[in-house]
Amino acid sequence: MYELTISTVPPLVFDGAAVVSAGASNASINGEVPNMPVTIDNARGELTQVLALADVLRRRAQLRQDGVLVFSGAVQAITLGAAVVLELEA
Amino acid sequence: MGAPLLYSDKLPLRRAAELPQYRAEDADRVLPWVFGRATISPVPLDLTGAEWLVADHPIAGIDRVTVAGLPTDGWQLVQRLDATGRPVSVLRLAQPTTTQPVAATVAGRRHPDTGELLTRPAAIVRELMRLCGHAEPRDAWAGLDTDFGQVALGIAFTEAVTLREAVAAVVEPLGAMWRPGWAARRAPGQPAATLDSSVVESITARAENTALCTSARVTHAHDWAAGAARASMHLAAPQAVAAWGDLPMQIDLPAVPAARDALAIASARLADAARVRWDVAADVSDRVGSLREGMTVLVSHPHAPAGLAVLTAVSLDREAGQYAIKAEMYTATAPRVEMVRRGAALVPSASTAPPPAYRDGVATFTILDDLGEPIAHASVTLDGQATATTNSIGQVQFRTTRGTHTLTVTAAGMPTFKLDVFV
Repeated sequence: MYELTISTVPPLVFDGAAVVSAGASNASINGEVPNMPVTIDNARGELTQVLALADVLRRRAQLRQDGVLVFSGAVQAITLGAAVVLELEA
Repeated sequence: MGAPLLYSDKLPLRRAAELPQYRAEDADRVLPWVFGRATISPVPLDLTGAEWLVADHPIAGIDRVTVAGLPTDGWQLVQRLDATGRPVSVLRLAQPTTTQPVAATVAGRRHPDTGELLTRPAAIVRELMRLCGHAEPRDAWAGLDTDFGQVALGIAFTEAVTLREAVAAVVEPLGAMWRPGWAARRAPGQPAATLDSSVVESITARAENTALCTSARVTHAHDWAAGAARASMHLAAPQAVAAWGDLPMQIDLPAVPAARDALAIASARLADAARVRWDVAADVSDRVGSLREGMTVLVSHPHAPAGLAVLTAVSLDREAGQYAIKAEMYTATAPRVEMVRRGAALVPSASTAPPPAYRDGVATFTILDDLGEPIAHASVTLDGQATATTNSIGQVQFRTTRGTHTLTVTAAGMPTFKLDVFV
């Protein structure tokens, strides 16, 4: 189970079924993970206006899996659509 | 001229070798076209250094001539036909020189009908198009008149460039978007269509951190003789700096001579860069009506931010009855932009201040404005300590040591600015 927290004011927290997937797109050969795309369900478009107005770019973000921190960085890019993709940068 | 030039064709600028007489070492030099007021390095026409071609066309006049960086009054403007029957503008020096650099600030082309000096962006672009053989409707480029009708430009074409590059050099630094015959400020207007669920097949909106900038170093008033900008300023959007830190961008406005115009244009560009920009991509049914680049549309769809967007690319698949569009939009209001600092570029140029004189422990500085004119009666503070007032020719003196100093200049009608000087 993933939980994504973005340090806006107030913080945005996505957990449970909201986080559809998370994966390293640019893992380097020594195992470093500098970027992490996180896909969030936006089926009914409920998150669109929230994220459009929340100024999430450059905000600190933490991704936890079953309570364990797996990635800490900042929001580098966001794509809104049927799904929302947040690209995190270490 | 036969068929109009394509946008990818070079401007029909002549080179010195096409003149009946030219100096061998200058054979490849382009004979300049000048619009508005611009400082250029003229092309020598003889071996004695008496005659210099300042423009390959008639001009409104010459404002100022310098030899080795020092102004001179010993010159005459001669407008005549060359041996091929082309009108050229020639500077004749009373004291010829073959060794010293010569620069001339030229008031360039006039409107072919009204005789007015061509300084407005729309007028310059229309004249470029006319010179390249295009017969355009009278309302072509009208958006430049609407959005930038008060801006005066000064630009010289001294190198081979394509028509597209020439138009872009005039239009794009202003923050405008353009296509042939049309240009407008990159800002939303009245919406021409609504992109809602009834016409949108798919839509995404993307914002990237790398597009954000919160401060700007601006250069303007390019000196084509010196090959560098004569003035600069530093702008910041304080709220954006507080939110995201200092993310600098560079804005070059070479054709904008006046600080007031440069400040207005650069402030608008920084205000856009200092907020999140959404790049929208969508497939839209052609039932929405006719769409074109530059149009404003209202986005009202659950998968994209709500608000006004400006179309930046439009393609129509007639068979599928579908547009593929790209647009840009903002969800936040434009932040406030402040000028932090203003400077005069320290380049070895004919139009910048002479270097400080230093004698018996006293340094003499000359303070010039962004057009190279002395600023009289300005209050000047050296290193935040001693303050003095400039005389009628912009000179001020301080007793100081050799080295690097900072002058803070306060003058009527302009914001306080700082100059870093070396004595």
